[in-house]
Amino acid sequence: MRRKKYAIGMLVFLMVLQLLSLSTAIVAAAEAPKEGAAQEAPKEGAAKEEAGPVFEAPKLKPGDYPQTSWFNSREAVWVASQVHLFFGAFVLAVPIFVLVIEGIGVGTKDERYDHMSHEIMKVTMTAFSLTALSGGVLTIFLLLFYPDFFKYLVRLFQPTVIIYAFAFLGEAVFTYTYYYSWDALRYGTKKWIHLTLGLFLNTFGLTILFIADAWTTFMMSPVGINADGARTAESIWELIHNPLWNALNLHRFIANLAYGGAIVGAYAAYKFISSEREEDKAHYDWMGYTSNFIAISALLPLPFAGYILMAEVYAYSQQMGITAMGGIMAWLFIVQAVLIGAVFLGANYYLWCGMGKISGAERYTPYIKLIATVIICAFLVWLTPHTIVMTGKEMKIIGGSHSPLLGPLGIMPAKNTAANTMILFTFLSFFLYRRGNKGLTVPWAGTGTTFMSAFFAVAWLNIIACGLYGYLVPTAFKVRSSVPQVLSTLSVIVVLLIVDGLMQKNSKSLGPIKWGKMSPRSQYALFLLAISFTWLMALMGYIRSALRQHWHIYTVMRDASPDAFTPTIGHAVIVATTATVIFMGLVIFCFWIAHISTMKQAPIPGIAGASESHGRKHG
Amino acid sequence: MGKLTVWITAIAGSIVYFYLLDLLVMKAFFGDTLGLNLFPK
Amino acid sequence: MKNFLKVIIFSLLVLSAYTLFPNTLPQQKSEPPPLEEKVGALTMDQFVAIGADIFSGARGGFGGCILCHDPKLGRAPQLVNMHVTSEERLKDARYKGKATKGEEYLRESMLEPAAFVVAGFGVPGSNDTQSPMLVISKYLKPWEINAAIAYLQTKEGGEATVTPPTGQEDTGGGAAAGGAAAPPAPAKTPQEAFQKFGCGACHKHEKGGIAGAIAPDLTHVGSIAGKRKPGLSASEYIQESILTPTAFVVPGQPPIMPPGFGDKMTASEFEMVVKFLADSK
Repeated sequence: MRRKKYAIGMLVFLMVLQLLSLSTAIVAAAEAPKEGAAQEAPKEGAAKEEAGPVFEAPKLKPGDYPQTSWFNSREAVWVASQVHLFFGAFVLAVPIFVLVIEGIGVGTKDERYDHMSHEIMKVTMTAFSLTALSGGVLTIFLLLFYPDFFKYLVRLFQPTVIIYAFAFLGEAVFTYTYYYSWDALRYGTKKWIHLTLGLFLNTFGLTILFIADAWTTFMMSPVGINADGARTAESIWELIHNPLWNALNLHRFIANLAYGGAIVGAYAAYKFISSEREEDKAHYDWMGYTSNFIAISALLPLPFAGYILMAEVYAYSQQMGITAMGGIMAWLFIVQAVLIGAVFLGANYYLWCGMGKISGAERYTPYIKLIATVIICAFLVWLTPHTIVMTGKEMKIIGGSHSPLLGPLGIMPAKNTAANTMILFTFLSFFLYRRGNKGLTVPWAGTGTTFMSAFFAVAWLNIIACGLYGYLVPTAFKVRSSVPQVLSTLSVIVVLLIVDGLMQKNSKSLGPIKWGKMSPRSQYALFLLAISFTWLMALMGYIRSALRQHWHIYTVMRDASPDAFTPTIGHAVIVATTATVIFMGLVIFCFWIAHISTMKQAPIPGIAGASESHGRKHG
Repeated sequence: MGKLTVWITAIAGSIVYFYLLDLLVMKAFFGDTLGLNLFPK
Repeated sequence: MKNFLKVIIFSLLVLSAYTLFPNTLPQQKSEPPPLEEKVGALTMDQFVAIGADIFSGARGGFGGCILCHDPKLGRAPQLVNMHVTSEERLKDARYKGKATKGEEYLRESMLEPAAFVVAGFGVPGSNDTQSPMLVISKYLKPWEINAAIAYLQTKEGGEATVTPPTGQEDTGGGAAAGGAAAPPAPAKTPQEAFQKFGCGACHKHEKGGIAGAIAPDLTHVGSIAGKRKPGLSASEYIQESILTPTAFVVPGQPPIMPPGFGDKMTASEFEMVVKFLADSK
């Protein structure tokens, strides 16, 4: 009893500590004196020479950007930041679902969940160091190649930079404690302490994400400063809370989850095909399934978050929105559509392969063909371009600024219909997979199934109808018709999960799920998923950054470097691939470290020190 | 309940649900324009 | 080891596909607009000549003061004898601005047109309190505004009270996204063309990224262009409107669209703009 009180006391103390630091930070930020306010007063008077310089964005010239002959400075920063973002996304996402899986393990008392979450955490330990290292490299490159811009930005955001540094400290402390105390805090109250440590780890992680998002979005949609870059806002919160901040927070949070799940899935896939023993294969098959489940669950709402982000871009600056989707970067969105097709088809394919190991799922095989066809058609619609920059000759060939035949498939009502369709039918794949080996025993099973089928079908028809409606109405209505589409998809997901959940009460198993009975081909679907996600992240990150065009801070601080131009799409993807290859190499290193830490060499007789004590299992 | 009855009820019910959903959304966004004011200013 | 290699090869194949496909698409690079270089020392004559270019639209990126301040069109006050008029305006009973000299009045008129709106030229319905003038500071740097002032003050024989830049100023950067001079290369998109030829000074087009308020809204011009003049298709009407604006003036609009775009646009720019507008339904 006393120990329990002690433990609770510690927890409360830790919580209070966290709250105190957060609130001090917020108060400090709010009360930070306006930079330059003190200097502005004397400037009012006649003696201009007495005033110190007002803190403004520097007006740079090409000579202000140090160059090196070893590599191109813009691309160095580009690759460094992309690799850092890959790792950052990974190490932010993993603790989230590790905590959730650990929690499920506590709830279901199933050892497998705890074992898996522990293993996933082990894989990511090296990744934490690499995140910090790549962040360090990025900072060094920024200081080397963009010193004036960096100086301005960190000075403007000073309080947040300090909090950021302390958040790293907090993250490091809790990462190590969370991981290394796993077996020591294994059951009962101690387990709850362990879960709380994981929770704190995640709060520090989110703090880091949200602060970095503030700087990133401020560069695109600056508020609270005047045209010269001097701060006009009363508190820094205004700069943090710029128009794109929350949209990016939401999008990155969900995308990180999907991404983390995909990378862990690739790890599991590799371990699966390398396993010799049946129980290892079963274990890694299950791990792959669970990570894929997380990846797909996060993938489903992701297009909506992306849509919100683009909507906010358009709302902030129509010019920026048009640059993204109707101007020089329009083709990039077609490339994105190809990648998304690969991701959805890969994820679905993995599920369909998985159905093969579920006894009883054979009855759903005919549906798979239908789902595949629908998803492919929807993907083709998503792929169709609309507003592309064309030469006069090309326009003559097509017969206008848009293709008369395929053009209509390129506008938003068609795209939203396609996107919602893909999400809906991916959910269906997943739903059938879940139902696969369940023999339903509730008396209303037949009626329930009919109801769910009808609901699904009508939902899909509604999505299509809203899409068609979008063609017949002016722009404002057209865009808003996407809302009922989204709500239809969400309705289906919620209703079907609830009804099916109720229907599965006391269901009997039609046979065990034969974990481990998966073809190697199916594992390659998981590799495809991980690679596609990574590369897609590099592509979309490029677009987001390139929207600023020749500005460091949009319309406020001009990029005067020799590299301020927007590169060709061919070149941009080469850089994206470079970053992806570097990341994949480093991730393989992480997995290898995790692997080698479990190995122990057999003692060699006759060598001094090869005694019993070294036979103890480590790590 | 006969199978056909179940189907017809389910489809009809779903149609009603989604129609109301669409209407609600359009009302919320375009109430003043269409004269169906759900959130009057 | 075999598995590892298989996975690596698979990954590299996938990445190659993703890298090669975009390289088959049309490649476009986009250069940023020219950075404002140090303007260097200018003689008064050069300075006034630049002011004249700004006035006529040859420089500045918004079509020039003459677009509205044209004596024939009556859309905005005539800018003659400004060295005298600018002093007289200060004595007007309605004048509530902050200028104390003619030069300051001219500058204020450009940067804060609402400070004093000449009688009869205000936004209709505003009782001469709102000015339809566009935001000049988006297009002109402070020294360019001075150049325009110098031109206005001297063109009918007055003395310029502004001084040309001496080459010591820092004139780099600035808020204008467009820079000082129009880019020399032909515009590649309708949006670029609209910026280059200053259509946004008067016209609005949602997708075109312009928001002028004193000429017909072009957002859906494609659906009405065919009905404007019997016998002319939508494209033909739009072409005529650009090349010879006075051939048909929309009822209720003053005939103020500048002629001469036919001399300024390249054939490909013209074709692109016409197609874009004809498709703007």
